[in-house]
Order: sequence, then C-alpha cells, then structure tokens
Amino acid sequence: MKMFGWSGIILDVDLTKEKIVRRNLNKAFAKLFLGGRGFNSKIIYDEFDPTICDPYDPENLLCISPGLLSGSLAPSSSRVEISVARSPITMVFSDGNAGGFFGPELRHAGYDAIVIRGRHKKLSYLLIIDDDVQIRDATHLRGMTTWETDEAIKEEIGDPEVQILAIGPAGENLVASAAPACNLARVPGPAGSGAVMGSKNLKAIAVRGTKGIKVAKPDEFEKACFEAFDQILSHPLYKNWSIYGTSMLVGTKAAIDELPVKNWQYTTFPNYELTDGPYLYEHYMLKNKGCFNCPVHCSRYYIVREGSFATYGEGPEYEAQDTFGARAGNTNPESILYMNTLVNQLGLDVLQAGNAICTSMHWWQDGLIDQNDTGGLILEWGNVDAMIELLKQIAFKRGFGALFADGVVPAAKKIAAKKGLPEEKLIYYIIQGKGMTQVGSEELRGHIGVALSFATSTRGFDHLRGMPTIEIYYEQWYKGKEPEKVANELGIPLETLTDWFNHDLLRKGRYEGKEYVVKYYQDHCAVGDALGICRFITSWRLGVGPILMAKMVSAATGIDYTWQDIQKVGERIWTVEYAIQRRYGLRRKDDFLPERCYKEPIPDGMDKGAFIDKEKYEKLLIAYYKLRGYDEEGIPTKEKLLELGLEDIAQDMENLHRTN
Amino acid sequence: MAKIKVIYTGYLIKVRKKQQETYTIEEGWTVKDLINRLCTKHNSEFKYTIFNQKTNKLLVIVLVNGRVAEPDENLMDGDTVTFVFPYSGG
Repeated sequence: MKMFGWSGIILDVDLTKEKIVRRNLNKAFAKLFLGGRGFNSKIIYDEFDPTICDPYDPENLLCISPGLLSGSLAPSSSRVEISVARSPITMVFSDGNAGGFFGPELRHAGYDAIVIRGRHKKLSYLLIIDDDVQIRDATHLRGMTTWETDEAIKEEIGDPEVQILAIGPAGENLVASAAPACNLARVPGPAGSGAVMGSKNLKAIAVRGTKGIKVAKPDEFEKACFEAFDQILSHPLYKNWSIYGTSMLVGTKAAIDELPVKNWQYTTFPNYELTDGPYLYEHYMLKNKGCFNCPVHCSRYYIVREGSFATYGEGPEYEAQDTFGARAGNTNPESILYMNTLVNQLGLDVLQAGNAICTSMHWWQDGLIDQNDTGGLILEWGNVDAMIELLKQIAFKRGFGALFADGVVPAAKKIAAKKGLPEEKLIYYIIQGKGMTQVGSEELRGHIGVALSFATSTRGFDHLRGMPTIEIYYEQWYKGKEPEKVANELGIPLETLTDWFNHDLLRKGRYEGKEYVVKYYQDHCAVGDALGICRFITSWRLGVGPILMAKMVSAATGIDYTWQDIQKVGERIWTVEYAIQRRYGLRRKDDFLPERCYKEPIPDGMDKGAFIDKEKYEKLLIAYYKLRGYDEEGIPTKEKLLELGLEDIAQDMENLHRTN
Repeated sequence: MAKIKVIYTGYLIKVRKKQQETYTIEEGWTVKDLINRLCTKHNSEFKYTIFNQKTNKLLVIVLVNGRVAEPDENLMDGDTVTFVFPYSGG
C-alpha cells in the first residue's frame, strides 16, 4: 500500500541469528501511533515477553524509531526515540530521546523503526546504507570511547556523512547509567540503553540514507511547516533560546530560587553565575550549533584551551551545569565542561552518573560513608578531582564507582549492607522515582503539577515526559494575562487554556484539578516524541502546539487529523506505556515522590517552607488516574482501552484487574 | 539617594556585558522609573530585550527582592531588582 509521510518499513534485526528482516509498516498501526515513541512503546507491548526480568537477557528489546516528521521540512525534526523493554536503571520499560542527525538519516535510509533482539556472538556494529544492511565486526573497536568509535567507523566506511549512534566503555562494561551518543554529544538519556546495547554486543549503528521523505500534500505541508517556523521565530523567548539554549537556566533558576543545591538541600547558591550560560558563552564558546533543520540552534561548541581541564565539546546542557555544578556544590566552570566531555566520551548519562556523585557527597556530608568506603576518595562538596575520578570509576566498574554499576538505589543497598545500616536510611537521600534519579532539576515541592508529572512519568522520573512548564512561572508571568495571548505564546488550544484559567487550576500550592494540566502536557509531549520534533518547540516552550502539529501531520500523511486527534494519539501512547508498566507489576505505590519531598520543607529562598502534603498528593494521584480512565492502581480500564482503539490490550488489563 | 542592585539573566547579560551592577537612584523612584531610566541610559538593544518592539509590553519578569514587582512599587535603599525571562525546562 502506498504510504505518505511514513517510509513504510520496520527493520527487524536478530543479532543471535544474524537475521535481518524488512517488515512492512501496517498503516492502521501507523495511523494510531504516528511513529517514534508511539511505535516503540506499542512494539514493546506486542512483542516482548514480560516474564523476562533481566535487562541483559538477549531477548530484551531495543527499539529505535525516528518520528513521523523526522528528517522532513518540519522545524526541529531531528529526534530519535530509543526504548528498552527492560531498563537496567528502572528494571521496567524506559526510553530516551536524542537530537542531532542520526534519526533523520535513518528516515532518509527508508526506515520508520529498527527493532533489535538477541545478542551477537562477538562485538559488532550495524551498518545501514539505504537498503543495504549488514552486521559488521566491531572487535577492533572494543574499549573505544564514543568519539573514537565515531571516527573509526567513518574512516572504515570512507564517508564522513555517515551518522553514528555508539556506546563507549560504560556501555560495553554493562554500567546501568550507560547511554549511547549520536553525533558525539546528543545522548538519549537515562534509560540505560547504552548498557542494553553492550549486552547485545552492539557497539554502534551507522546509517547513511539518500531516499528522502515523500509527503501526501507538498504545498500544504510546506505551508504548515512555515507556519510552525514563524511561530518559533516570533516567540518572545526565541532570542535567548537561540543563543544560550538550556545553559542560561542556571541564572533564571537562581533568580527564582530553584537551584537544587547540594543534592536539593538548599535553593540558593553563591557564585552560581560562574556556571551560568552567559558566563560560559563569554569565556569558552566558539559558536552555536543546530540539530537537523532546527531554527533554534540552541547547542554550542566550547573549548577550554589550557589548564588541567583543557577540553572541547558540544553543549553543555543545563543538566550538566547543574549536576556537576549546583547539585555537587561546584562553581568551577572549566571542570563542568571537562566532565561534560568526559561523560559523552565514556558513554554515560550525565544525570544518572552525576546523581551518583551528588548523592555520594550528601552521604559523605552526613557521615554515612568515609574514606574507608570510597577507597580514599574525599567526596566533599565541590571536590572536582574526586568527581572526575568517580565518573571514571563508574564507567570502568572500579573501586567505589563499581558500587554504582546497577544504579544509585542498588548502590545505596550495597553500602547499607556493608555498613550494617537500614537500606531506607541511604535511599532516603536519593531524589528518584522508579529507580531513576531525577532527570531535570525542578523544585518539585513548590509546584504540585510538576511533581505529579514527574511521579507519573512512564519512563522513570523526569521533566521531559510532560512537565507543565506553564505552572512554573504562572504566578510571576502568566497569571492575569489575556488567555488568547498565552494560548498563542505556548500553542495551547484556547479552549483548553481558558478552562485552566477559569478554574484557577494553575495556582501555586493548589492540588485539585492539576491533573488536567498534567494530562495535557503528558499527551502533548508523547505526540512530540512520536513526530520526532524537539520538545523545545512544542507547547513546552516555543509554542508549536497540537493545532500546528495536526496541520503538519495531515499534510504529510494525507489523513485528516484534528488537534483533538493529535492529543488522542498522545493519550493512546501514554496508556500503552501505563499498560506495559502495569503488566510488569507497577502500581499506585510506584507513582509517589521521594520521601524528602514530604518530609523536608524548602529551607530557603522564595518558596521557603513549601513541601508536598502526602495525603493531598495521593488524592490528586487518584483523581489523575480517574481522568485518564485508569483504576485506583493505575491500571487502564476496558472502557478507556476500547475508546482508544486498544482492544488487544483490554483483555490483559482485565486479567490484571481480576488478580489485583 | 538610594543604592540598589540590578541582576540580569540570559541575553541581558550579553547586552550589559555584566551579570549585575549597582545604581544610585533618587528617593521615591518606582520600578517603572528604574526601567525607564535603564532604557534611556543604555542602548536600544537593551530596551528591545526588555520590551516587545511591536506591542511595547514587557518581555521579562521584574522581581524586587525575589518577589514579583508592581510597576508603581517604590524602590528602597538596598533593594535587589532582578530581570528574569520566563524560561523553564532543561
């Protein structure tokens, strides 16, 4: 069947059997899930045996899907979703998303998704050049960093334009916080997909595509894409975003007292400006850098020319500045850039590895560990030499760092066992949910909707799954403004936004009704990931919302989607992911916040005294489930599943209801 | 006379080439007076980073001592005024 928008092929690679199959994409499936994260999640639900518990079992599934619009004329259409059926970080389903050029290249080679199963007998890499797909020997790449691997494969292929997703030593060593890197520095975050690649003996995927993407209505598609470009370029925050990207968040968060200082003990941080984007830009930046077809070009190249932290690389994103800065009590900017390059080269996720450091420093501060435990490392706040050494130890499973091989929570349990302490005592320090340490640095205690979005994240504990960004500045910026203006700025449909305003749902400290705001953002972000467009251009920030998405998708596919249909796709993806996690055994108890959010009020700054009321939070969580059409344990109901066209999942969930 | 500290974020740091500075203002000045003075004193790039060029509406949140400021609010000796963009995410 002729398809527009989609490439029409899913590549199925069995590394054990060395078997490569080109599966035709089912159009009905494509229409329901659009691509990217939608494809990955449903494929994992359909094809993975949930009784397999070991993330390093050869039958664990690794799914890699660019979105429907990846590689197209659509703005910021650079993204690729990398999902694992079992994550070594969460032990359940999880995923990550990266920009750069790898995803678009995969679409140009003619693929909507790659499903990887099995384990190759020796270290290998997958080479895709349009229809030619090969599993190649990679034993000569063993031990190489992501950057060395990228260079070696390009030289071997003889094509500098080949786009590469590669793991470093951390992935080969099966370190749970390992992540592959696309284009050296675009990293699909916290799911542990680097370690899963390592367990499959898959060092890299290299892709080159020359086919392009065919859309159903080229003129309409061009018009819709240009409308989206206009939205981005005329946005009041465009200028800041296009120069500093996320790096200037240090200063803005400092201004509103939201830095997670010393592992979230404080919110104010003296000398924070040394780690802020404008300071880094002034002293170390060479120029800006954009991902595929992105008018925002928010990334940057940096260089530290001399000294003990001499280095170069891309970024940093706010998360690196924060994790190696405020969270660790460090204000040395050059060390932050050095560690940013180091984690990218070693193939570590900056947050899962970085949180191991700041949590350890917190344990050290409170006397729970000392030099006898750390092998001599002095983990005082801001000790950058110890931080660098610990990152290396984590990647190579050496010394104290080896304790973090399975993540921060398992490390806490190992240390507790060794010291004869209760596990809960050490785990209490970790800001985490479902085993994933916090991705993003939002101050959860001051924003109830943000907290709910983190705790109900279907991949772990993070801001990118649907944090309601509007809530963060509601009191300072959006409150009292005309709904039309805010709707235009954020791309939120006017009727939705008016409803939130009329019912005062965004008010700080309010619990009731926050589920409506969170659901909108979660569904919207799910669609963004299905389309393969960057989160920064969506309602999350620069305002390409569901209305513009519907125009682009309709013109690309030739199938009419309303903005409500687009949101419904997001809801469908979300519900499939909840079904996956419920089938693994997750329940309401797994959608709570870290204990510190309930027990430790914010000690300083403008939100001093704020905390999460656990009882009110639980009521909100149940209201959230109800709005989503799930039961009180978060299991999707038959009615909701049928409404979403997920009849095939309904029976499984009915069985869970019966046995619950 | 009163001394106040002004803190910039994001692009304003690039425009002013500094992250913060101190100003001496006259007694009784309001937040609006300060903003107008800064826009007159500095170049047009400063003004159009703070104000939308078409609508002349503020593009930044103005905080005084960490709290959202009203335009007619009086500034006092020792106050800290922060210009922050409604920038979130990461």
